[in-house]
Amino acid sequence: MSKLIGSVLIIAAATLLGFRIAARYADRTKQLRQFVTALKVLETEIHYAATPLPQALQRIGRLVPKPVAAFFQSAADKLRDGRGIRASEAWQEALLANKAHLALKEADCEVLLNFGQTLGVSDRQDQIKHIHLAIAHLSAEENNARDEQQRNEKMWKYLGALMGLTVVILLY
Amino acid sequence: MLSPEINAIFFIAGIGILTAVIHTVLKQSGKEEFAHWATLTGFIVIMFTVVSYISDLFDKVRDVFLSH
Repeated sequence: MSKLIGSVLIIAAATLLGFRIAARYADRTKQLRQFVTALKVLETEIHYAATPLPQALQRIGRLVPKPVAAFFQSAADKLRDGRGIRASEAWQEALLANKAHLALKEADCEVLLNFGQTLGVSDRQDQIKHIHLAIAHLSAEENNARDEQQRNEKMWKYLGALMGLTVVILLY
Repeated sequence: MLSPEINAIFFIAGIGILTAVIHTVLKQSGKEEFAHWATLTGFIVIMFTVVSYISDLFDKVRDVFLSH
C-alpha cells in the first residue's frame, strides 16, 4: 500500500516538474512580447506625450501583465524614492531585483541592460532610436524563444511523466 | 502469487516500453542525440538485470554439476 502511494507521489512530482519546465518556455515568449509592448508604449510616452520617465514607467507598470509590471513599477519607485540615482541605475537595479521572477534568459537580460544604459541620457530622437534598436533585439529574441518553445514545451510535458514512471519501475 | 521471475519480465517490459516512448518523444522534438542516450541507458539497465539472472542460472548449473 505504501509502495503504491509512494509511486503515485513520485509520478505526480515528476509530472509537475515537467510542466513547470515547459511553462518556463511559454513564459519566456510571453514576457518578451510584453517587454516589446512595454517599450512601444514607452516610445509613445516619450515621443508624443513627453511624459517624465518615472511617470511613464509607472503607467507602463499599470498597463502590462504581472511579472513584467513589477519590474517597471520597481524601476519607477527607485527613480522616485529621492536617492537621486540615474535612470540607467534604477533600470539596472530593478532588473536585478526582478530577474528571479522573470523567465528571461541571460541574453534577454543583456539586451534590456544595454537598453537601460541609454535610458534618459540623450534627447528624444536619440532615445527613440535606442528604443527601436531594443525592440528589434527583443523581437529577434522572441522569435528565438518561440522556436525553442515549439521544440521543447511538448517534450518536457511528456518527459516529466515518463521520467517519473521510469523511476517508479526502477524502484518497484 | 507473483513469482520474482514474472516480476522481472514485467520490469523489463516496462523499461522497454518507456525507453521506446522516451526515444520517440525526444526524436519528435529534434533531440536525436539525447534519444540515443536514453535508449542506451534503458538498454544498460535491462542488461544489468538480465546479467544478474543469467549469473544466477550459471551458479545453479555449477551447483548441480559440481556438488558431490
